[in-house]
Amino acid sequence: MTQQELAEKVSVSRQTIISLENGRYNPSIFLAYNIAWFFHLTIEDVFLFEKENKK
Amino acid sequence: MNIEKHLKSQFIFAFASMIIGAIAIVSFILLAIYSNVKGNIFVFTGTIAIGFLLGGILLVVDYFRTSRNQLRRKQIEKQLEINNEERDIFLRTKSGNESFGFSLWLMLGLWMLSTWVNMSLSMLFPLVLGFMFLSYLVSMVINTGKY
Repeated sequence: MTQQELAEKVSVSRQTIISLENGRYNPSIFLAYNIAWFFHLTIEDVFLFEKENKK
Repeated sequence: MNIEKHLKSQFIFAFASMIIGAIAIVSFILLAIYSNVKGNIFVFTGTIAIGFLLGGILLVVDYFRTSRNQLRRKQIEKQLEINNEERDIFLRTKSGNESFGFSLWLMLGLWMLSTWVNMSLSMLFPLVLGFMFLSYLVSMVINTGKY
């Protein structure tokens, strides 16, 4: 699956997917849920919560 | 926001712009006839009159063009999707907040330097507006790279 395909499935831009992959952007709970739902996983499986590295 | 909602708000905005433009034109004519003041306020009122009225008319034309043209509707829908994208909203909000903050600092700085820098209010207004616009663009470029 390409970044563009995932972006279209969860209704965001490809740039957002790139930023998420690089850990530069923290998604909203809605987007996090959408991505997790798309992969049939839970939010905790897809995203790591780092308490110390809050941006 | 779907396309119908967008078109409706565009029409209301166009109508409001035309009303403001019409009020400004009446003020401009009254100023031209009755007032002896022909300074900045005269130019300012004239600019508002032309800008708002022309903007309103163009928006109404665009509204009717978009309502009838399916291809244009698709383009607008795509644009709305991009504008409502959450990272984009985040970048716009953050850049807007930063540029507003910088402008406040600029005004504070100018106020502190007012003993040495002699600046009228009619000069301060375009300076702060221009600075706000520029700092917004710079913040947008920096934040786009950062996030």
